[in-house]
Amino acid sequence: MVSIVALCIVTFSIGYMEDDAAKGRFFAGVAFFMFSMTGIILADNLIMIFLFWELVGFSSYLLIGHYFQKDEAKSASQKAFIVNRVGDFGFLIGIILTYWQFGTTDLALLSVKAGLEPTLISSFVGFLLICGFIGKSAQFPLHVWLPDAMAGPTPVSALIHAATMVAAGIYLLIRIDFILTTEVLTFIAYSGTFVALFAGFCAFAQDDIKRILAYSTLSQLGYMAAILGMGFSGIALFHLITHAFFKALLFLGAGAVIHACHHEQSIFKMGGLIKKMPITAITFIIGTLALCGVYGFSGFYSKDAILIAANDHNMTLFYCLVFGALMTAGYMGRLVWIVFFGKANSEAASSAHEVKPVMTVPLIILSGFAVFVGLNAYWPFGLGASIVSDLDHLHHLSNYKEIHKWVLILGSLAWVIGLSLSLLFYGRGSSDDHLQLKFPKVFAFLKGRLWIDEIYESYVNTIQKPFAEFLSFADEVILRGIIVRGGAGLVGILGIGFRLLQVGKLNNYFLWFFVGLLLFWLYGIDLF
Amino acid sequence: MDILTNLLCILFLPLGASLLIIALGKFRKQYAPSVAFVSSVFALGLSYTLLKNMPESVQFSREWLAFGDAKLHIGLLLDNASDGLDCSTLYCYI
Repeated sequence: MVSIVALCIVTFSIGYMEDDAAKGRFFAGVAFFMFSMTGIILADNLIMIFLFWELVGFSSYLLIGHYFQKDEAKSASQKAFIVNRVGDFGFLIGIILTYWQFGTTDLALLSVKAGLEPTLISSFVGFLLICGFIGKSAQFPLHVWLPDAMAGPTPVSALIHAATMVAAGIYLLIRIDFILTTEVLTFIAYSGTFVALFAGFCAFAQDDIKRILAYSTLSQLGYMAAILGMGFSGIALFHLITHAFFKALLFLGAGAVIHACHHEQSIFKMGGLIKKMPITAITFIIGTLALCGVYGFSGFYSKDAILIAANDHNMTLFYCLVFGALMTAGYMGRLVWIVFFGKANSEAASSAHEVKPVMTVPLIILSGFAVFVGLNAYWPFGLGASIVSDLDHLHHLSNYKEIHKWVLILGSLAWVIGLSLSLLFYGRGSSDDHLQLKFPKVFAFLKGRLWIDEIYESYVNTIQKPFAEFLSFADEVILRGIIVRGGAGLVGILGIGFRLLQVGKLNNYFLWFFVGLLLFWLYGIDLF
Repeated sequence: MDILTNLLCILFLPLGASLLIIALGKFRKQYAPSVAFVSSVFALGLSYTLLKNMPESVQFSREWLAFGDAKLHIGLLLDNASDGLDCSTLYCYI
């Protein structure tokens, strides 16, 4: 999957980055990312996974900051790097504790030991290990970096922030699910469902085409996490694979649109592009239908499996996920109607034209996958075996036929209602958001993204920064000044103090002279 | 080509491409897309060959560091990622 998606994205990038002065740096970064990502997939133990995990984070930092001349890209890359390190710190402690408890980090051995001695499995270690997943897959509350990471070049968004890197968190969970306790899995299921809904709501309030897709990615990662938390790793893997193809297609389609509109990213400054860019528009619509889970497209098969499993396990989560599917259809419909239909809303959109074949061919190939990759029973070399086993498990449920019928009806209603409502509100294309004009407060709330960024900023400014300054002072004066350098350090510190008195003004020196005399006089009259 | 060599090639081919692009430097940057493209095509080809000839799962591991009894290994593992999942034990968690 990684190889196919990467090849399509590299091919697309040849056209997209044609005029970029730093394309050497870009392609070197992409190739380095490929090395790191392949390392995660092939690693046989947690330490190697962690090493490649960090390399993936580093290459992501380089690629998000490709346009480092722009402040937005610079701060987005730093934010992604720092937020990921927070998660990775927990992951690292989790790996150390896993080694301490099991005596190994080898995945195969861990699996055997966890089976033989289930008492070794602990929720605490599990929660630490999933910190890595929360950071890398941008789950709540470490989701803040992903929408900002869209400041990087669009092929990077397709490769890293849609198809592969963010999926690494889910892949990690699939790898280590045997050492996750019921409590940890339950937490993953509920937090995943929350992210699926929350990101769906946020996507409605975005104007930037890439940010809408970024929130959509968050939402789909939530689906994967939710089903994984319910114990169906195979189905999570299935959705990971189908999602990788159609989301890479959507991001590359967005890239083609942005490229054609002279790097305009606001959907309200596009419009009517289906006539000017028919190949891009049709492939984008195919990706949208796959994402919405329309019957016959790849997303239908994986989403259907997710909903059946959820229906069998927890009805609350099931209804939340169905509602999430409705929202997916709603915000993607909004995007498609505004960007591709109606009339052009800017000079850039009216002068847009279809991109070169080097960019459209990858779109066509990916749209083929977006349609057919859901037929997992036909995958070559038995690749879909683990997925089939999970699906078989569902097929053997006593009331499978009834559940499936119910899920088919609700799942279909979700995308039909979502697309219809978006057609109703945005069907004619628009240069304004009618819903935003009607409900400005709701949109302001959603654009605020639950104010998580502000909470972090306030925490850093009021607690972390003063604490870091205090530690820096303590390090300078106590550790390095007195403890390490001893008497010499103490004299040095006194020297720093006395140096402040040396201001080069005669009247100041007279003042200190008389202060000294006063002190001697006070000492002389036994006042001290 | 044996399976281990194939796996190592898949892993290190992109790294080689990245280093080559850096080595080409600023003045040969027009070759960067071609190098990245060719390495991606080869990686896909190698993946195809590997999957075609691969047994159900394969692991290569060797000792990396040893501190007394504590030993760290490095290695490669290719399997059907969630084959280890036993639905009967993971079923009905919620």
